[in-house]
Amino acid sequence: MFERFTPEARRIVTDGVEIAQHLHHDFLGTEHLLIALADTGPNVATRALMACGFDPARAREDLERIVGPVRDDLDQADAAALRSIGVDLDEVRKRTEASFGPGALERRRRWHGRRRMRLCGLPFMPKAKQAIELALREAIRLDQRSIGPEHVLLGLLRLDAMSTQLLHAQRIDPRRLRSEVERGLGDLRRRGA
Amino acid sequence: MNSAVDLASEATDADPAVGLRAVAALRKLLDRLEALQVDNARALGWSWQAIADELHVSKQAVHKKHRERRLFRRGG
Repeated sequence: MFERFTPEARRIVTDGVEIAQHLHHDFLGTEHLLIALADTGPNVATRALMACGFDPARAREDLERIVGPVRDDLDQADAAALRSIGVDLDEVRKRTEASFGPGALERRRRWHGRRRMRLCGLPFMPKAKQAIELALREAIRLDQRSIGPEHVLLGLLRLDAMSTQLLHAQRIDPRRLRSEVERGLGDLRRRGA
Repeated sequence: MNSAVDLASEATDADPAVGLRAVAALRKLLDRLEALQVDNARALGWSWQAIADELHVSKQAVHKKHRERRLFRRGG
């Protein structure tokens, strides 16, 4: 699936996995792809994102705000503090796990689903997979042989996904972003011709 | 396990740092338990109103707090 991806585009996926892991998510979603994409260095996609005012650091913050702080699992210090008021965290953990399964009390997101495409151990969320497929389609539509970050961005923009929500949070109009990418591609073509 | 006497002395002797830490940890635990229970209730088909009633909060409050988080959990 990734044979036609440029090294930059491949890095979106591997960086996306890292971002997901950092957030203790055990799936790769469009939100991780978008944040990784914004960090691929100067190219048509990052220039378009910048032109629309996209701030990747803020997107990370928005993600963390919604899913909770990264280090939010109850740790040893919390257990000690709770013990001081008579709450036995181990007992609470034992009981919740008895009802809801291992790790029930941790914030870590678990994705139990059908068998999914996995990468570095993380399953692709359906929409992330779709974004990759749409990137391929965008490259074909634009008559380009390899798939770069701009195609991944165009792919993401065809979806209504978590990446869309991160854009909305920064009041970025997906249509404007799309036209910025198209404009950047047009400039490249003219310079190449 | 701590005896009642131990507990009472720890809770009352504690300087504010210890007491506040306990409150913060308790809040963390509370958030996790609430998320767990809300997710489970939704999975069992409970309405937001029914969940709100049990939590003694408004439907709007529970919806606002958990909808976004749940959206993210589904990812995509």
